Amino acid sequence: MLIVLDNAESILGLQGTGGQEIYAVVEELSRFSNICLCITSRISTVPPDCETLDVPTLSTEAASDTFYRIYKHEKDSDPINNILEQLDFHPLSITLLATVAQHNKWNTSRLTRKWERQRTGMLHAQHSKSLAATIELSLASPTFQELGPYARALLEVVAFFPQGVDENNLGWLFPTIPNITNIFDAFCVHSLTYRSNIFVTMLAPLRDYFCPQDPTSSPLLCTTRDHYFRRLSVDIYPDKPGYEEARWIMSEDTNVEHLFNVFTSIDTKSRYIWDTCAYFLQHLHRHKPRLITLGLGIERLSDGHPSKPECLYRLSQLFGSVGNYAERKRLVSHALKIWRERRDDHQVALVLESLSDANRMLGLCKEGI
Amino acid sequence: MEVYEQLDDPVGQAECLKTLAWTLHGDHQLGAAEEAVSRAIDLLPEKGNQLLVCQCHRVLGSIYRSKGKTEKSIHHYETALGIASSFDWHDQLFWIRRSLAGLFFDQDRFDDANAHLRHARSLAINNPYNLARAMQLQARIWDEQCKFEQAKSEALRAAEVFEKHGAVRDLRRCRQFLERIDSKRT
Repeated sequence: MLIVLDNAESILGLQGTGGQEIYAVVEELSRFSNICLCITSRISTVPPDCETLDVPTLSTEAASDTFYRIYKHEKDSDPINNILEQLDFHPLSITLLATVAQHNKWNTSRLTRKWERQRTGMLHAQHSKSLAATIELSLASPTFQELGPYARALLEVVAFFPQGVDENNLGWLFPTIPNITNIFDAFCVHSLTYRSNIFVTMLAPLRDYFCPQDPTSSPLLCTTRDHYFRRLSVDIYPDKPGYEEARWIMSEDTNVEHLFNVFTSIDTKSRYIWDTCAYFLQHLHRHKPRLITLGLGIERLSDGHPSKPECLYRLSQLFGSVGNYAERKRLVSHALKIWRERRDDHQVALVLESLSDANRMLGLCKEGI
Repeated sequence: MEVYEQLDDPVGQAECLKTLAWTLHGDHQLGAAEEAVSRAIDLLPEKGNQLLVCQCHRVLGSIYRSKGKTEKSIHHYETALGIASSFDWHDQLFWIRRSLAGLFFDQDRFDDANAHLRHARSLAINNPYNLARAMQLQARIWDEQCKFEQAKSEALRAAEVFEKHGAVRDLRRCRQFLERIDSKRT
């Protein structure tokens, strides 16, 4: 006999006496030699006698097949595959996307435009079938509710960061939240998150759903930002203490850059944010030199902004360390002009030396001397 | 220099003298470069500032390399290597290893050059630009060893990184090298 328990998280996740009894029944069923029990579930707490298979996300081909099984209007694979990839090939999201597009008789170009505007917000088919409804069902379950008042806010933080959250950093990122490791374990058990190397992250549709529209409206995210900022706010000298510790930036650079991109676009003039940004640039220069997208924001600051020359100088160092000496010279010259106007002799000396080095690297040795 | 003198900051002065030494070296004023870097070392307090000391030895290594004084050059590079190793400074270690590879390459000691370059590459995992600089030298070594296909492919990969990062000077050199390889083969 074959018994299939589909979406079994709704019964296996129940708490209390009823939940225990259901679990006991399922456990007993799994022991019968003449019964083949098949359980599909988002949670991994199934009876121990069951063999567990993790279902991976779909391949590009399978995702495309799933989409076109429902969507019959036209076949234009490139833009559709692009959207499917952005959905991390998440089966439910693909089914909903295809259903919505089919019901509304959208052609590919209209579907692409809709996706660009609404993203996962458009994954809402008729009869209450939507990504939101499915996620909220999980969040309303007693097992999720038991995780405490911070669980949802934590998911928002995980969703905000492109790399997710480094599990080794839970202690200093969320110092006031009790049982933080257990909560993150529970997120994985519920398939709300997954582990990718050292990071706990989410599939793209879930990230899109949980990510706060206005990051400043999430107190936990703002606190997390402040923890990152405090950690960054140290000068790094290779021959002084703290240099080794600053290597943490090598694995978290994408998260931190995103943090600055978002918060500098919300508050374009905050001294607190730009001062910390200069430290971030210093961290990158020392431990992971690469180009960044924050340059435009720095250059848009008025020359009177207190943090501008430091940011320009640190950015120039970064350009120098990737071999772009023309840009290094341009930026350091700008920093020099501002510090001269401010009559800051020490900083003037510092950037003059840097300017001389930039000239040398450009082959302008006479100018450098 | 003048500002640091007015501020009575010997470490700042030493930093400037080190940069001046590099620039004089680039301008082929080797005697003046040697004098500048020696003054920098004299200005530094006995303890601390190990990064600057390390960098000064690297400049001296390069000055003596340009002067053709191989033994002295190796001595200074190895002194710099010792300091950088004790602090695990990947960036300094990379440039010292690359310089040593260049020195041995100049003398057709390809095995020694390759050994240092292998070390250098392992230190540039998180630094695409440095890695490309190592690839650029590797291409020159392979070219000298008549491994033209490998040399060309390596130089093309380096050029791609230089282009992406806006490293115009390196890109120009890389393209000139590629043109030379192509002209040799035709």
